[in-house]
Amino acid sequence: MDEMVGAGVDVEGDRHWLRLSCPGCRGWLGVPGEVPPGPAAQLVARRIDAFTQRHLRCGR
Amino acid sequence: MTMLRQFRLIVAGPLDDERADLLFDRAGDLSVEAVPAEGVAWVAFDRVAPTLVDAVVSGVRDLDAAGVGIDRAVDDDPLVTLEVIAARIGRPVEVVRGWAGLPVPVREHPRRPVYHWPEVSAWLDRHRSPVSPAGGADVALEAVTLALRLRALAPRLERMPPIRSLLYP
Ligand SMILES: [Zn+2]
Repeated sequence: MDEMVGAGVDVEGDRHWLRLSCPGCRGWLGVPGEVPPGPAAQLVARRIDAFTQRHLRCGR
Repeated sequence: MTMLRQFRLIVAGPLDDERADLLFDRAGDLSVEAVPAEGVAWVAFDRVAPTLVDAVVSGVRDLDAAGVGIDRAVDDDPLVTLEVIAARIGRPVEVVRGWAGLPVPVREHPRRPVYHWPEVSAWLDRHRSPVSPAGGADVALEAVTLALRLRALAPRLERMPPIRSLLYP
């Protein structure tokens, strides 16, 4: 999560899920809020990494 | 074989917080992504299921229950991590990480590089074990998409049963 904030993505807490927003284009990603460590968490991390990569160049 | 099935359903119509709440109340193996500037949104699934068809159809039911419209079923996000590559070919992530010649990641990162799956898949076909589970994926996704299209047309049809009978020649 630290890395995402570093990449310019805001994180807001929501109900059963977390929303990550790109301040540049208002694109957003919703992921499950509570995921057990292990494979499930790695799959969520992958979704976050892909989203972050897509929005690296936004908002400059 | 029951295994990880990854795909996306492209959303048609609104996807607001209320609908997202319903989706995440119902399933914890999906994520939602929206690009308002392009008017595009999708739901990406990491679902364990016996077949891709079972996974996609159950995903359709999730969106139905949350009141989220569906335009079509498509391949998974092309951006993947080492963990996803390892899961798809059934090898330990340490082994995949150690492979020399793996295509250059689109995101260089000491612990969490991001790769472009089509490049990785082509490389695997040439240098390592061919990627088996992808076989027939296009067919399954297209079949579900066509079924969704037919479903959308059904209310405007005079009679549906004759159309349905065409599925069984
Ligand atoms: Zn953006």
